[in-house]
Amino acid sequence: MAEPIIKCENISYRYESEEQDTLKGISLEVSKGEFIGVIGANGSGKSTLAKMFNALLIPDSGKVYINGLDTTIEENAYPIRQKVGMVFQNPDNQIVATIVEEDVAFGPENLGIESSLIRDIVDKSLLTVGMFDYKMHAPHLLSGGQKQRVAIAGVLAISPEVIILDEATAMLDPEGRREVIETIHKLNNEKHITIIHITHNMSEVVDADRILVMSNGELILDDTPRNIFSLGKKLEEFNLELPQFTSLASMLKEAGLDINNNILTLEEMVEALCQLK
Amino acid sequence: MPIEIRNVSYTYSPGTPFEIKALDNIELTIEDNSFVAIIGQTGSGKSTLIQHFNGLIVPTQGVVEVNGISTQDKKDRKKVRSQVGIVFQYPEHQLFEETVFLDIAFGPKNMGYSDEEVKQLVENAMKAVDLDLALLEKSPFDLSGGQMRRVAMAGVLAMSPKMLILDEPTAGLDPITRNKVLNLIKELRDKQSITIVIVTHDMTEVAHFADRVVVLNNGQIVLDGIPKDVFGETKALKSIGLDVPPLTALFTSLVNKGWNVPSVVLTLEEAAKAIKDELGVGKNVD
Repeated sequence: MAEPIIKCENISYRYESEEQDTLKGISLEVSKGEFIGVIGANGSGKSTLAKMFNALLIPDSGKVYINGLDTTIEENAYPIRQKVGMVFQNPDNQIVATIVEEDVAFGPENLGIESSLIRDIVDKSLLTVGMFDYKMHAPHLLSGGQKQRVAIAGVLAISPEVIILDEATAMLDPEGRREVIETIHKLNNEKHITIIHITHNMSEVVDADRILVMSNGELILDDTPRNIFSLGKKLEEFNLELPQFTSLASMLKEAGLDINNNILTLEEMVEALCQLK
Repeated sequence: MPIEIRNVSYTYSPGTPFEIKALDNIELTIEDNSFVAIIGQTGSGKSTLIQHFNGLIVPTQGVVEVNGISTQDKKDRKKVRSQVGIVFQYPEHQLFEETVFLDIAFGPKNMGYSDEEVKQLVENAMKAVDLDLALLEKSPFDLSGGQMRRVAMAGVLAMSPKMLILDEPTAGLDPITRNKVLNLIKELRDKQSITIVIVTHDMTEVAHFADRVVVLNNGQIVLDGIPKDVFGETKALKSIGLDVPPLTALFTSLVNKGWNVPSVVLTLEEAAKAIKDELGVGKNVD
């Protein structure tokens, strides 16, 4: 079997100002090309975990391996950050240049890539996220969804194998969310980039390959969306909720309807209901 | 204490190459004790509009009156601001004092209340947002995200506003904390008769909590009504990049498939009942 792209072995971490561990003995593996959703309450450790994946943070104990590279070894930090790109919550805090294409070129320039190649990399990255027509625009005049797609293009320009989105949709309007979600699915499907998507919006992870549920610094669930959301009300203990259609299905099931309570999407719900009619 | 917005337009940087008309001829009355949600895409004018509600921005054209007082006159603006509190996006970023008490007390102190009154206002505000009084002497920066947001809300509430405007009060909160914050906001309206206006991108939130929805697009009001009516306008909403709540999408699909159910349903309970009725479940139980 191929080596996992991300491997955590019993990692723990405590911030200096904190009295207890933010991460408590987490072990997990992510295979290349997976689409992983990460959910959990505010303060459950999701973002801290994500920062372990590109050596922004180093565990106090335990090991993180990215494509086999140990993050505790300092020389590995650069190659790891080239493999794992991150997109953060606030679109205004991660754009550095005054023209879209310069912003996207920032990464490859810093990697010392020849300028003749950078032109091509930037164009391709912007094309992939559907922002090519905006390459000469000023980033501050773009919508939130467009800014986040530029941020994704900036990450793409360093040809990463993994992209982590740390609540990258939280500040966006519905259309902006849709744009970002479609973009990351496209990168996952067509370029086989591994996606780690952290969100509070359950509907954004119903079609993930796997969901990691964090609670109080522990990884308490690691399973398919269908198995996780069929836990029903138990999820509320972890400050989570069910997708609306899953909630409705369980209510109908309780009322005696012959319906599966692990329905996740609108299409599945319409189909299930029409079979009952 | 209604807010009346008459024929209001607002232009940023007028007369320069960067001129942008953010609001275009807005007519809007916010009635006392209502819970209004303002929705619209980024850049549709929502934030510009709410800043007119307490005179942070005064209109380029038209009039804004709060309880009959125009925001145009600088002398009156202080009065307006004591009545209309605005909680901005990610308000926890604006916390600055050493203790929770000092942070919440900042507003009422500046308004000239006595120490005793300030203490009472701070405690009442903390109770209203369900914060434990044991936190009074803690640093606001040692609290959880949800707590910090509630401290920031308490800071505005401590000025005893008649009306509270909240710009995306639940952005970045987990689902349970989000519902907690929304229920607290609803209680302010129900128990203290504080008029509520929220700006949000979450349509499920609108469906559950608001009794009126105002939809902005390109600086104009394009829809305005009760959630049931506004979410019935699926096509109009989609054309300006907005969503309908998931349950509304479901019922629209069912109606298209020939089901005899309402096309707009707002809550899970309503949805379950409509489906059971249509399928004849619960009526003729064996």
